[in-house]
Amino acid sequence: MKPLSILIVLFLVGCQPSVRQVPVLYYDVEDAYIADFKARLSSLESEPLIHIDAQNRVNTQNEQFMDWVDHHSVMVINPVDRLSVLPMILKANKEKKTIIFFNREPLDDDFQKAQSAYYVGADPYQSAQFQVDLVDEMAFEVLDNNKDGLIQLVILKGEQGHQDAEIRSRGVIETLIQRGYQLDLLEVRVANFDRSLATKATKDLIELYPQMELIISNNDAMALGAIDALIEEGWMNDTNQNGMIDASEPWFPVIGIDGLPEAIESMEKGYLFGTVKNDSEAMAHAIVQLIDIVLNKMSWSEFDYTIEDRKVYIDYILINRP
Amino acid sequence: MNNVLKKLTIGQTTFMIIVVIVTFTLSIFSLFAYRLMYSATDDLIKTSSKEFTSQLILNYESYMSGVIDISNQIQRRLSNLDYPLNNDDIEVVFESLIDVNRNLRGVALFDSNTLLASSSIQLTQDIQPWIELALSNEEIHHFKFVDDRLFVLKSFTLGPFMNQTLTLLIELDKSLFDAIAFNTNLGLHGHILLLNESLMPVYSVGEYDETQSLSVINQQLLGMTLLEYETQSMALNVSTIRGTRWMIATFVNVNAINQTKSEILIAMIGILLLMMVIVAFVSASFSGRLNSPMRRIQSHIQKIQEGNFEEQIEIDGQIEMVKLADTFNTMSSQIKQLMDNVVTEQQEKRVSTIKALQNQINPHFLYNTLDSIVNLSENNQNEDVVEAIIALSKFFRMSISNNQNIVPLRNEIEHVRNYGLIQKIRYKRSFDLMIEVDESLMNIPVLKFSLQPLVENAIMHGLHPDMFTLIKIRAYLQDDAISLSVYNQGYGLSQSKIDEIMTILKDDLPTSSVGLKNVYQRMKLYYGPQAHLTIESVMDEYTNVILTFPLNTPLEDIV
Repeated sequence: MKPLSILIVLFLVGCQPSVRQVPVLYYDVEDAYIADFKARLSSLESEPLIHIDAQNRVNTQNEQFMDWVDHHSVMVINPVDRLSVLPMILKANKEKKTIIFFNREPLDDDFQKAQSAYYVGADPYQSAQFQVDLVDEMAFEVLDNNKDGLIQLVILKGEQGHQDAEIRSRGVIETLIQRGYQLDLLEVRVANFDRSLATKATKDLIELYPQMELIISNNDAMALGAIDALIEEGWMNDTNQNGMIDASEPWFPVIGIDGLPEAIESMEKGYLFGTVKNDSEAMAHAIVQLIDIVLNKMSWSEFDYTIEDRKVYIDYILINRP
Repeated sequence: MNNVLKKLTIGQTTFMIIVVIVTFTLSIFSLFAYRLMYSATDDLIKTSSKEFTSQLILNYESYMSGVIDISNQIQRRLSNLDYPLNNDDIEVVFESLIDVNRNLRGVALFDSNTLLASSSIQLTQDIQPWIELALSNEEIHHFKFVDDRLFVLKSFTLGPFMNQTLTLLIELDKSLFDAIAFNTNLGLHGHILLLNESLMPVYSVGEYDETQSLSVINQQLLGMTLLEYETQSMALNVSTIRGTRWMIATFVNVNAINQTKSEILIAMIGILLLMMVIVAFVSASFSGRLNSPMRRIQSHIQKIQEGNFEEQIEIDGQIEMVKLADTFNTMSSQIKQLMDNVVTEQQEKRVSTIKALQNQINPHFLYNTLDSIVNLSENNQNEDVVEAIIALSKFFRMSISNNQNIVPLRNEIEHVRNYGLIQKIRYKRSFDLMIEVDESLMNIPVLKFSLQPLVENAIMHGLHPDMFTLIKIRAYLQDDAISLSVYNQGYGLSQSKIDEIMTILKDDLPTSSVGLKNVYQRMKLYYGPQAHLTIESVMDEYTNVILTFPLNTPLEDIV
């Protein structure tokens, strides 16, 4: 009898779920910003998390969602495509699960259908305004290279259909006009938030528009990609080889968003003009707090951020050139 | 269980146990193997269905991203035009794009509901609701299928001056879109559905039952499942297509793969049955190997029961069986030996009994007695004649009549008394027979005709011609035995003579002096070793022969 009961106990112990981790679904951890965000999220003290990478494929993420939906009562999702979240929301409703979306905001239509969902992100329009703040800091004479009174502008747009990309692009144009700049918008070029794609695009743009005066990018990765191309084409040149772009050396203004460590480094070396930091630390913190609230481990009164219609918008941080 | 097993032969039990164990083991094994294959098949179905769907989705996504690229190109070109827009400029943009895109059938641009410019577009319906839809969410592309065409709608805010929201309408040939799923083999009732955000079908490949399909899609919502659809096994996979709000549901007929599942099951059951038949055969032959020698031994025993000891049993097979048969043969031959002995003994017994009887009616004895009686009557000793004839009559009656072997001591004494009377007449009263037996011992059973031969011997060999001889018969109890002693005065016997007599008594050799030997052998037959015959003698003084019988019931009365 004794060995039998020991076996039963072992069996029951074996069946007991190990500590359930909260699944975090990323659209693509190859994306520098997402990689950084993941690191921040992991460094925070929180419920145990499990990080899952969709490698930028909607179908993969859908499969991952199905694989993990039963794992925990709450899921954190960074959608590959914000248009594709409806089935996830419907499934979560059915299974009585909570989804915390971040980085890519679902369509309002879809989001309203969710019985229990939150969104943590930033207001992309604010990031555009902050980028224009950076433009404001530049002397117009420096900016208007050909002295035609217009700014020959190129916008490096993230993904088509990506809400942030759309709003940032539009916001930059609108805010520049609002603040009285005369614009010659050469092109809004889509480079999928990708550094190497941006390098390729910029080379093309340099050829197309030699009169180009300013590149505003929807993120840092594309800004760095653009700088890669500008260096290659000699538009930025560290002639004295001191590892810095000095005032006298060829330089071209590029503005990014995200405040990646690489971008900050590039800025310190005089290449990147400036960036707007997506406060991923605060965002990660907000997500962790939301998880605790959903799991009844924390009350709303302890929540450090403003929430409205189940959405939390985290303020950007402006990073000036030293 | 034990009771059931007890009713079976060793062979049947062995057979049953082997079959049960093998069946159990095989069944467990088959069950596991089938479970493994079953889940492997399921995994195969799931994997291949996922692969298929994933490839299909990639193709649709790449098509849609191409469409969105065209739209983005047009938007970008339009943004680059001089403002305010000039219809001719727009048409130039449109036509240049149509030229390079064979897929592109026509383009139109609307400001609110007003058509600004168009190129080759065929509008067969009221597009007012479409434009409202595009304007309601200008962040995304909207798609509409009409007949063989796919329409793409996108509202956007134009150019640097931001005060004009335009709606772009692109007409595409659907044939390339159709081609994506054209050659896919979905199987019977297999189909593909694209659903809008209200989960209503907007595009389909293959025939389907809308109610049933929508119901299972609503159930599933996302991911992969196996289900029954129109009596067919289907793999349903629901996912989404990037850049659109479409859900894609693929129903792939997996009946064929599923059928292999039942084929595997049938094959496994077949193998299982075959194995069981083989095992049954093997174990039956094995148990037969155990059983048949057992049966032969059994029938052999039956023959022995019927008294046939002649046959020997020959068995080859398991060592134990051979040994058993050998031992059995030895045993039966020993039994046969023993039984032969018993038969011989019985025959000897009969012979000796008959001889004893014969002895009693010795014709010489009769002749001599009658001769003596004649003498008596010649001498006119009438009383003696009467006495002698009565004694002779009694003597013979007792000799012939009673066929029991054990009689009360009283009868034996009476018999000896009669004998003594007759002999006294014959031997002219030269001896006296004295009987000293307590009345209380008279009913003790003793061997019949045991005393008379002793007295006869005493008279024949003990009488001294010149002397009056006393013959004394006594009976006394000693331990659990009764001793009958016949004592006579006379020559006596030397110890060597006594030994010789004892040897003759004990051996099987025929002898002329049958009387004493007869008593001795019958005594041993009836009483066994507990009975004794002792001869005591002192030369020229006396001889005393003592018979000792145990008091308990004598051995079986054989004759």
